[in-house]
Amino acid sequence: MRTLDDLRRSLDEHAGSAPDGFGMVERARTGAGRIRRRRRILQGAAAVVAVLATAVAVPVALRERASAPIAPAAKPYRTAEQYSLTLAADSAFVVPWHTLDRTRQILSVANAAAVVADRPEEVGGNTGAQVVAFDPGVFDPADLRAGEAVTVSGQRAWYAAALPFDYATVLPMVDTTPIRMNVPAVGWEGASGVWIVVYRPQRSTPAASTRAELLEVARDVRLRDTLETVRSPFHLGWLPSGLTADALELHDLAQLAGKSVSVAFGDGTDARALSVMAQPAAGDRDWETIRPELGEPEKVAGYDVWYQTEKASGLVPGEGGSVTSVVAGTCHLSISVEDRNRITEADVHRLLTGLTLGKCADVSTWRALL
Amino acid sequence: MQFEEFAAARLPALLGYATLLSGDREQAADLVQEVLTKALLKWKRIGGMDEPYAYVRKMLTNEYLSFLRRRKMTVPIDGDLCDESHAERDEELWELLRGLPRQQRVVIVLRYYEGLSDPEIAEVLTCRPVTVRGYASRALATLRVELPASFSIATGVR
Repeated sequence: MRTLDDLRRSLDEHAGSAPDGFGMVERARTGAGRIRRRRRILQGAAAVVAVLATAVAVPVALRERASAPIAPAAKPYRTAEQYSLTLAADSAFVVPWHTLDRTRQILSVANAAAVVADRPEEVGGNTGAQVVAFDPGVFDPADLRAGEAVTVSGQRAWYAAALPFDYATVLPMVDTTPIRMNVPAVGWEGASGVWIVVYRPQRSTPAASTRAELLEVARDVRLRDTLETVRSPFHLGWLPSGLTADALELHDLAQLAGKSVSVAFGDGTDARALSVMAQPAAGDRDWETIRPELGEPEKVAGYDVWYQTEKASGLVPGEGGSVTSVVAGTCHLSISVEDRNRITEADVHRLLTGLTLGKCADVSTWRALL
Repeated sequence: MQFEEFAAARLPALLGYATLLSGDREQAADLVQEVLTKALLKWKRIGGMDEPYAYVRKMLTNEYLSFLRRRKMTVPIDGDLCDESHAERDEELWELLRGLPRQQRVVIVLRYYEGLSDPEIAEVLTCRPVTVRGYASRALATLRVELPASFSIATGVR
């Protein structure tokens, strides 16, 4: 026989042999670490590209150097819901996530073979990169231009082994603090003064292959002449006065058995006044935990709705705010309000009444956000 | 709490927990990677919770259980986890632990590594505390762990 102390000691010792987590956060952001469920859902990189051409979202972004601000363009190049940054149709890479805000378009580019592999870490080759298109006047290219001159698809470009960037997670519903990093990057100026930067977030010295791999990704990046408008599973027929889309995060969660869309609406001073997230109801494991403690729903526009101003079921509205959970057709919605005196429960109900929903898991039913 | 803050503070704990569940460093890394990605995508919800770690740990537990279901695997054997300095006694215990049914293994790790109470474990596994005690009782018998009398009374394990 042995004692409980023996058991605890053994557990502690073996837990101590756990792998280190280096790079996991970055891989979580890029989705490169996804292994299972992909083949079943993705069914080929071409389908992914087609889906993602209409989708938007990525939790990773670059920001221009705060020390060298540049005046924004007089006329906005695009709105937050518009995009022009894509990959070549025949690219060996895919874009699991794509994010837009008022000044940037961000693609998380992954190796298509790795995305559908059972064990992507064994696929090898180019793992992809982050691609950011900065709207005209937003990016300061001085540091980049001090790097090595290279050519990307016939265009003059530069490679910098350690380009200083403020690296930040960009989520529509969450403000995050950027972290200054020196990243290997390739960049060039595209049409209309848009700067495109292809980089790989990493803390260590770039591998010898990094330069070539970034250039390989860069060759597949395309900047369309015309702007496309993002489509979403929800179309809002009404919004509180003064709000427009500030940031969008639309995941093709092929790796995660579904898709989700998050949109933050702001008014220029409050960028997160109202946030709406939609995801397929099927497979929402969080809901299994949340639902039992919510009590009976009220019916609003035919949907089951739970309006919360206090913590419940692990959902915690911000101070003075509210969270509304909605079961609507094939979707679960979460509507977050920062100031419930400004955007009231009645406003949320009005928003729901004006809502038109497609099928959360079927992008062919999606339409313009507004 | 921001995702980066959470990851910086809790990633080692999640990896240790995943290693004990899976018994394999590579699978542990896979499990944590998947859960981190999912957690990031729902961070608005999770980051606002009182105890994000508890929630993510539950996600990890579910992922471990579903991982095994999907791949129809038994708990793997990985001798690399035991270095030569480990006593033979510990190796035997570790082998027994790795051979436990997965629910029993989860209960043992949550109880004696994570320090959760039976009601807390029941919440993680979405079952009743009495079921947790049943898993624990069977697991401890398999592991041939001798329980002090006071412990048996306090926890209900016989």
